[in-house]
Amino acid sequence: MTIAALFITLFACMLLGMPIAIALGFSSMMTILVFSNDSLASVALKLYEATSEHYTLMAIPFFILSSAFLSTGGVAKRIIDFATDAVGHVRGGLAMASVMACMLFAAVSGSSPATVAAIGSIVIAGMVRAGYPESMAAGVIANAGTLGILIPPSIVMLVYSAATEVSASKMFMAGLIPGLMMGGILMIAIYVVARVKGLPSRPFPGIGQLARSCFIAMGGLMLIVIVMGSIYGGIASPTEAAAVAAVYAYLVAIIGYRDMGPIKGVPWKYKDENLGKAIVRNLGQMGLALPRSVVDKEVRSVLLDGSKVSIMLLFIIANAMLFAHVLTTERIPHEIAEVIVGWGLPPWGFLIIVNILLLVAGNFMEPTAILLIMAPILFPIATQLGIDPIHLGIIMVVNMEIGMLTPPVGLNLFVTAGITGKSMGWVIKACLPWLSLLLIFLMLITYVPQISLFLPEYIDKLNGY
Amino acid sequence: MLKKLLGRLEEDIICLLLVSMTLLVVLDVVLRFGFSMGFHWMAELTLTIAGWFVLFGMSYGVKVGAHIGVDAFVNMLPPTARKISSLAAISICMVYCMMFLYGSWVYLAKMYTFGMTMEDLYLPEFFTSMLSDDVAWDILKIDVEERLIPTWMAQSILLFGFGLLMLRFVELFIKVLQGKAVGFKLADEAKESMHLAQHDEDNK
Repeated sequence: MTIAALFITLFACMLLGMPIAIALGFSSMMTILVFSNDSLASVALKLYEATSEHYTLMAIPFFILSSAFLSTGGVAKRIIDFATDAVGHVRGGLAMASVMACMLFAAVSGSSPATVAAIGSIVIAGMVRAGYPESMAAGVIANAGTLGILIPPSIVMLVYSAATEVSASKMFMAGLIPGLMMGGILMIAIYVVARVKGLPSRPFPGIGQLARSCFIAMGGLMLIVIVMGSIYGGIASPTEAAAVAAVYAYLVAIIGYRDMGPIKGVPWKYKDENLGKAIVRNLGQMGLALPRSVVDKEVRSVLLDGSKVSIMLLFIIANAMLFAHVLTTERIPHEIAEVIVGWGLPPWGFLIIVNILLLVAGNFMEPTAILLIMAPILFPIATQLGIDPIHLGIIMVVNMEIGMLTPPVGLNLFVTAGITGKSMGWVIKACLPWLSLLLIFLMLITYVPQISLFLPEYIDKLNGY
Repeated sequence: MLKKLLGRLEEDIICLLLVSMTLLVVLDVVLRFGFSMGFHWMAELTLTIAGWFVLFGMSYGVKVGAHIGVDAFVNMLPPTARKISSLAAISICMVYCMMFLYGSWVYLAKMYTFGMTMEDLYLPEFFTSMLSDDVAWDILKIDVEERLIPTWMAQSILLFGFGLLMLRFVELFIKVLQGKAVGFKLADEAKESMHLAQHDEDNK
């Protein structure tokens, strides 16, 4: 009865087009009022606590802020240059380089559609000019772009750990191997296709050029090193690493790359300038750039963009915590779990159901919303069946990746259609062969838990647990 | 004019909250690693700012269309049905706000009558020294000896934030009624990512 009331209100509200946050909050509140003795005052307190008692959750605005500073076309270009110099000389190298660029940019930006837009708009045209079929170029990019939520740091993973209280650091560790593996699978497939179709390769640019482009790209890529290094090394929590990353991203964007801000486009060295003069000038400009960026328009708009996304996510999470609270107090997951255990369903059977459920949901809703609604329900069931919560988290994330490539709400499809100027039907067809790889990968992840669990367990062992 | 100024102020406050949150955590890290120091009040202050950031920002999210939702279904409706569904949805949002306003009021009133305080957050001395003892305790519920910030002050953003959210929904309701808006402006991540797309087919 309670279950029905809660979910019917929730879905009715969502169908009416209400913001998901309020749909979650309203349905939970109604259920609390009708079926339990909690007062509205205690609900208000719960919401306040949800926004201000979770240190881990603050990693979300910090990561969003750091990616807002570094998700620019300029950074994308630098990463593409580096990736092309690194693997472009292999057969099918340009496509492989695109996958690599997607993986790197995805790790920095943490957003899949942003990755497709920033990387895809440059490399798809480049690949077509180099003689690749356009459908292959578009399909590869749309798929590689989804790696953004699997390769850490990932905001979707933070949301999962917020919903289930699984350690965010462990999720980040668990995502690394699957992320690299999926990238590897895509690259191998590209190599095979390139051999069969006789696609071109580029000449090797030389070690010097590679080192140069690597150094330039490093400015942005150091972000990954800082975050992952401090988390894997166990010296800082994800929140602290994210805050440092945000400040670092600001410094790189304003002072290092100068893509925005008060000294935008000012070169490090003018043509006829001697070195001493350039150093003095740069130091002065950098020193001034920091106070000047307080009133800078572009910096302000980056901050505001980051704030908008952060507020949206944190507000949904706060309301989803009310929702999760209703679920637990009404023992809803427990009841569902009992029914499922009563069926005598083995863990692998449950995981098939989870995959189907998530794939269907992924067609209609955003990853964050799905995670926040489904995770509190699936999590207790999985625990009862002996499935590792971290493993479940990775399965959910991979499902969300596929959701970005399936109509009608596949974000990556829209973006790919937007940058290629083709119809949705064409994009879907272009993605299909590569999407099937992703589906095979999902089966691998689902039934070989070691892929996800190896790294976190290994690091635990290193730290002596 | 005033509206524009207030809008700017709102945006500045949001940015300021986000920046101070970030810098506080960074400062905490620097102090810990560089000087092996730490302050108790920093964690509580950061978390309180996080709460203010979300609760103050949620109404701004409605204004600029930052919230996400599923509008695929309502977009298929004919205009009149679309209008009715929008009005119904906004009304539910207003009920949501009113429930929270009432709940927050009752909760904050309780905090006020019991004189509850934060754990590690202090008011600056120059502020408390300006107050006479009577005003401090009887009206503001501040214990001048301890100077801890009263909970009702720190959490008053609940009332303020939901008040603003209510205001935005009333505004939106009127707009939809007048036909100036069709419904919530919901965020479209795909569209927003498109500004990153670059159109330079010539180089390379």
